[in-house]
Formats: sequence, C-alpha cells, structure tokens
Amino acid sequence: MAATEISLGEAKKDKLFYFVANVLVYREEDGRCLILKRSKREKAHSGRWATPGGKMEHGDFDINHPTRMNGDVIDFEDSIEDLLRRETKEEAGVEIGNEFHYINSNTFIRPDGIPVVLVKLAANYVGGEVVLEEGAFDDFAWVNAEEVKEYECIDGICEEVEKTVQLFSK
Amino acid sequence: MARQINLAHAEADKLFYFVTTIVVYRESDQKCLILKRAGDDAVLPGKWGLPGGRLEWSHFDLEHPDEVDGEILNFNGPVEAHVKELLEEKAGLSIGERPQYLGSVFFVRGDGTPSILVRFAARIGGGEAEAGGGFTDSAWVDAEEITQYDHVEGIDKEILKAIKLFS
Repeated sequence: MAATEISLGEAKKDKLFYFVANVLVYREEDGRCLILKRSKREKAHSGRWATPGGKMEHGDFDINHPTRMNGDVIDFEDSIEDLLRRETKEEAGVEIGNEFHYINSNTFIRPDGIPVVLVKLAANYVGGEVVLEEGAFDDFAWVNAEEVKEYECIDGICEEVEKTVQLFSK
Repeated sequence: MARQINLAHAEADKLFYFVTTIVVYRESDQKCLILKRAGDDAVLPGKWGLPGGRLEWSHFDLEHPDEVDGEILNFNGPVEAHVKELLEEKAGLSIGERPQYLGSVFFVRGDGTPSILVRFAARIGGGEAEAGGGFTDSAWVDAEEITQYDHVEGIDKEILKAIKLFS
C-alpha cells in the first residue's frame, strides 16, 4: 500500500542524509557561467563566490500529486532539476532550461555531525535579468574559465566552471 | 569538527535516503542489463529493475577524509564511487568510463521513507553479469524486449535513453 505521509519511522538511521544540489548556469551567447557572492552575514563561506543551489525538504513534495505511481511507490520525476530551477529563480532571478549535465558530487560531514550529500549539475541559461536574493548574496558575475580565477571562490568552483564550459561547447 | 556522524541536531524534514541506479550498456549487442528484485524486498518485490543501492554512513571513514575545510570533513566523488561499487556487488560488473547522468527522481517508499534517486548510464567495462546483493536473476534487453518483463516503472525509458546515448 502506498504511504499516506512522508515519515522516517521505518528508516534506518545510518542511511539518512541531508541533500543539497548546486547548479552551474551556462550562458551560451558568451560561454560564461554565473557565480554569486555570498553575503558577509552568511555563517558558512561568508563573502566567497558560489553557485546557486539549495537543500531538499520534505515540504517540497505534495504526496497527493506525484508525477507517477510505481506500484506502492510514489514518484516525483526530475526532483533535483526542479529544485535547481526553484533555487536559481529565488537566489538569482534567472531561468534555466532542460539540458542538464552532471558535474560532480561531494559528501561532507558538518561540525555538528550531520552528513550531507551534495550533487552539482550544469544547466543552460534561458532568460531573466539577474536579481539577487536580498540578504543572501551581495554581487554576481558571469565568468569564463579564466575570469573565474580572479574571484575568491569556494573550493572547486574554478574547475567546475571550466568543466561546464567544455560540456556545453561540445 | 565532528568525531562521528550523528543526527542529534538534524531537522527531520530534511533527511532522505540517497539511492543511485545505473543502466549498463553492452556494446556487442546494444543491450542493457536488468536484474530481478528479490520476492521479499521491501520495495517493489519481484519486479525487474536496474542495479542500484543506498548510500550508507559506513562509506565514510571520518579518520580519513579527502579534505578538511575548516571544521568540515570532505569526501570527493561519493556518488560516482558508489555507482561503481554497487555494480560490482549487485551484478559482478565493472564500467570502463565515467557514468553519464540520466536524471533524478524523489520517491516515497510504501513505508513512508523519503528517498532521492540519481540515475546514471555507462558502457560495460568488464565482467560476466551475475545477479547478487538482493537480486535473484539477470537479463540483457533492448528497448523492445524490456516490455516483456514485469519491470519498475520508467526503466524502459531509461534503457531507451542509454541506447540512444551510446549507440
């Protein structure tokens, strides 16, 4: 029987993670990617340059309106892609398209012991002027693989910009 | 810095299982591997599916992270490593290249557990397919043949996508 609510009652604790996705937004017209400067008020990586993204939450899904039923399993297809569309719109005001590429993954253990799975994808920019989420970011830039080196980025961003440009310019 | 993984400070509504599956493509006959789930499996018992599995805390040895970034312990490429490991464990196969990304699904199991699935595809690198690790049978199928099996919803589309990607 399908579940009537999302619950961790039957979950095995040692297999539970927070989940975060980030996206490299690629602008085809000039071959550049969007980076955002995190606010100085942010606890983690304050003042450093990053990419849009966010954490998945149970509340993102209405269990009564799945995209598909799979026996007694309730499916929501393209969930990471949808998360990235929402976060990119919320954090930077821009829209991304349907072409997604996988960049890399990382698991990190926070100082409080919570394990986080981070997946990074790249997507094509389709429209919108950049409008930064107030309080979260102070500045933005569109950069290529050379230009990104001039910015004080979170570790790995330079390589990810380079990889994204390669993937989309094929 | 954390000495052990724990959920004491975690918000319950942000916790998920993290699952990966992979479509393995065999170049010689342009077919993909499917595996039959055990009859007593908690999720979709007896259905034909793809090699896959859940990430576990035991994959991460806190004494040996790849990097320490301030107070944060980093492990690089866990998803890619997990795909390779589970393919060896569940089907006795290796892949010869970096897996290609097919897409994602959030799903809620019958017992209510929320899970995030990331789907990959790769060309076979080596090994003879043999069902193991919770699967009871194996078959190589093309986009037509998969329709003759009682399969997990959606894997027919994934197989078609993988065949188009690699052939």
